Amino acid sequence: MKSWMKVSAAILITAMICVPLTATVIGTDSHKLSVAGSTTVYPLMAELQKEFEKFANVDMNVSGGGSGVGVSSTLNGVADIGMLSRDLKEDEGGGQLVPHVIAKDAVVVIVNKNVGLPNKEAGIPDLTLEQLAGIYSGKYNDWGEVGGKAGQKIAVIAREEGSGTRDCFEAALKTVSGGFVAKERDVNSVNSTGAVLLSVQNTPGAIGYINLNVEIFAYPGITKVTVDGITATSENVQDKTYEISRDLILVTKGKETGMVKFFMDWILSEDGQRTVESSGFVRVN
Amino acid sequence: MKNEDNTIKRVKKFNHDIVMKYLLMAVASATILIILFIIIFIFANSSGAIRDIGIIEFITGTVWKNSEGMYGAVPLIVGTLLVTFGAIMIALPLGLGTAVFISEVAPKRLRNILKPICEIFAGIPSVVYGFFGLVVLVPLLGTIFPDHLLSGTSWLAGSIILGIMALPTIISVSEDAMRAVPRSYREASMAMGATRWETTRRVVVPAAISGIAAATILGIGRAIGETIAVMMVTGNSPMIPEPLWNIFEMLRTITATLALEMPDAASGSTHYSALFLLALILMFIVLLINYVAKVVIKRARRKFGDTSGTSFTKKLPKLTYAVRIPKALWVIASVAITFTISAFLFNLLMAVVYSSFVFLISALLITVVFETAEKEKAKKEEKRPPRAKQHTILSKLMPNVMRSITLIAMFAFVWMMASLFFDRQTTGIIAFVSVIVMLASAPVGKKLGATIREKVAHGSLVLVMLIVVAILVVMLFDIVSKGLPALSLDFLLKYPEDRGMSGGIFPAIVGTIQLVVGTMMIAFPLGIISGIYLAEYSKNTRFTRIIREAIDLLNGTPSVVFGLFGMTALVIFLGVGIALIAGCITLAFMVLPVIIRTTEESILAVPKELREASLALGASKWETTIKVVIPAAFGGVITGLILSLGRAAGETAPIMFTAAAIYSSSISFSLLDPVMALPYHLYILATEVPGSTTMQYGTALVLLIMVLFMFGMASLARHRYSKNIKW
Repeated sequence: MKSWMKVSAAILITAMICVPLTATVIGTDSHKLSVAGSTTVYPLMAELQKEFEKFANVDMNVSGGGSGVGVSSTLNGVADIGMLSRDLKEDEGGGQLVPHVIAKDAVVVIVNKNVGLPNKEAGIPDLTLEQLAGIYSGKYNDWGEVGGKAGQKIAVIAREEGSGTRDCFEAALKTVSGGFVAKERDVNSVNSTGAVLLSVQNTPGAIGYINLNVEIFAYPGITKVTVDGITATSENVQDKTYEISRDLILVTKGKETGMVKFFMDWILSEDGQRTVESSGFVRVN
Repeated sequence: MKNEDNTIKRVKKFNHDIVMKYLLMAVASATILIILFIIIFIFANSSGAIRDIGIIEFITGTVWKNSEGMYGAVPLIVGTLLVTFGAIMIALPLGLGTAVFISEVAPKRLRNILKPICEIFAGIPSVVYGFFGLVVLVPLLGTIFPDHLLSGTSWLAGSIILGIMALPTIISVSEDAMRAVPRSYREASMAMGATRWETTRRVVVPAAISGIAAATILGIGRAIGETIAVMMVTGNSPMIPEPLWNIFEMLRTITATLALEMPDAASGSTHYSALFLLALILMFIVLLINYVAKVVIKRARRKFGDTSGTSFTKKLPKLTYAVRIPKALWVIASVAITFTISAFLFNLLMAVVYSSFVFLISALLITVVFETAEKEKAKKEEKRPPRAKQHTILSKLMPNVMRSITLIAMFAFVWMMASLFFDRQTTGIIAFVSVIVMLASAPVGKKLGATIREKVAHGSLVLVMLIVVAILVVMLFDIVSKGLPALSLDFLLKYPEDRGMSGGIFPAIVGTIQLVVGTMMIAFPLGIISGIYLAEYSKNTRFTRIIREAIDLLNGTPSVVFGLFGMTALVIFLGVGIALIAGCITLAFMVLPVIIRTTEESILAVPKELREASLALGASKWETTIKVVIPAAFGGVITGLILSLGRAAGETAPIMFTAAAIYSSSISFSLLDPVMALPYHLYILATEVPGSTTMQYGTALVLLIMVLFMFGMASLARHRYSKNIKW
């Protein structure tokens, strides 16, 4: 008689614990800072977090989820700051969100070393933006057509539809006169930077693109390409002479205050921007 | 006095029973609420796409391009169907061969080794399959077919990985079906002078055919709902292969689209709701498949429900062709009509897509109609003495028709595959020769004699079995041998550094444990109570049936859909944010059906006599349940619980939008903080951090050890309790 009561009580108590568990909302600490959003900005934010926590007495937590989650969690107050690897859309946030550009990222074009492009200064081959658009729209199919080894087929490697890197790359190609429409056949879309590197390394005549902060020293068969004679250096990205770049954005709800403001100011300070640079991104000032 | 006491007590007990019953019922009905919530949230979020794009435009559009605002689901639906079809083409021969070998050929001792080996397949987390595919299979395919593949990510790679993942389902379900074929069938066949192979082929397999069909359908369901592994190896290009059978092209499934695009979609935008509409379509497809499987399984069960003393010839499911043909004609006609109409209206591709849809739906209808017709027939037959079956001309013709259809299909298949490699002429010759060989093999085989044929057949079964075991061994060996060097105390106890290139995985291990514990606390009480209610208290009322349907629905829901639900309902709507608690609830909903089912099944397996004895001693129903039935069913319940935890620990898709942090620098025990988790960490390392190979293998190994350890515990528990209790 008693033991069944115990068992049922135990079951009921467990059930009762579970209900409040689902509903508990612990109030946010004033020295807590939560950041959520784009996985592209994430590595940078992790570095910034490491430095900022040395500098200020704050407990930060950074989660991913993507730009969409970044916007919605900032809107409903779950996160203090949202990370975006794209611009804030017009109808997004209902005018409540304030965007802050904290860093820039550029996309670098890489080719397999045997494509026979003539080396320009510093031993680096070059393609114009128009040629790139031609390659990715299917106008040029042979390296001979863009000044490389004639008879070598161009193996086009792209990131998957929906990738931020791809959006950034294609946005730049769209600025060429005559516009740009990506070709859909005979493109090898891969869904990670690692796969781009491997494919370009292993495929004769391959061309691909990666983010600026990716190191290629482990891939001896790959070489970077300058675009319109301009190398993707921090300076060139910062003053917009190198065109294939995008802004990394943090959003806050309304005018930022307290710890959020402190953090934002810190990122744009010399200390913060130095961290941006050392993580492989480009500083904004 | 004493008598009075007794009556009072009894009245009291009676009341307890009623109270308990309704309490349990209330908990059990929570499952309905959960499934309702999921459906409501997905529906509500997809309404925007229906308004902005239009349902017809959505399912007929052939371009999926978010950057241009074009949302046509056809390439994704086609991608899903193709990759699943390929997976089944690989899994069916391997799985069926293995099942036949285990059930019919292998001696008992070998069977006892092989069965658990095949079960390991089911225990490996899908992200580990994806990882193996990405680092081993994809480069391998790239080297084998350098002219066709740039990097190896392709439909072919996706189908191979999915095929391996569907293997355990196909093997275990069809093996069960074959084991269920009564001994008397085999004995009768052997007594007629048939060899073992002939018995297997002509008696056992046909008798178990509905079970095998169910196994195939369940395997399809498993493959369609898979997210993370497919996403890692198919290349994710939302294009329809050109030509349609080009297995070297990249494609993208519905599930991969959800997982890839959901994170960056702006909440409330057309893109966002288009993704939810996709999820709805996915749920619909899976629902359909599972429903067909359920009906088929029911039929298979009833067939051998009462096997004692039934004559072999009468029960053999020859299913008179005369009855079947009009139905088959009906299906073929409706498919043909749809094909022609849509070929006129749209194009050839749409025609193929639509007619395969119509085929699915009409096949489903047929099964249901057939089901009820059979039921009624069975009822009538109880009254009337059985009649001799009628042989018509059609029934004699049918085998030949089937044979020619097989030949045509074979020709088409060989032609399609060969056309990928050779020019038109050579392709034609190859396909023609292969059909000739097929045709010639039958008379040659007949000449060889039954014993040699048996040897050949058994030899190839052994070969199939060896292939399956080899796949497992290669996979495990690769991960263990390359993962071991990474394992060290530092690796286990340090935080990741440099985006995971160095350092350890400590927070991911802790996070996984936190997720599992949280899931356990939510899912166990709900699941066990619902299971007890269904097994002991429910009657076959409409309410119970609804609960069961809800559980089935929940069970069939692909894990990525749970992820979407968790994201919209918990992360965004309730404003929990990416948090441990959101992940736990999502995972708990996912494992709930497994717990309910295993609890119910193991309680039902407790013999009636035990309950009757307890009730006869004056115990109330609740007392009997808690003191007699549950202890007796304990082993089964525990097994189910541990299995579900193993599944929760290895899943990626449900936590990637709800709980997972890419990196964390401290261990947090707050329910509202995100946590790192091993599967997600492995996914990020494998796709986003090139050059971290050792760390990837190390993470994969730790995850594998963790999950397989749980599965090992589960089978130990099952073993121990089944030995302890005997009736």
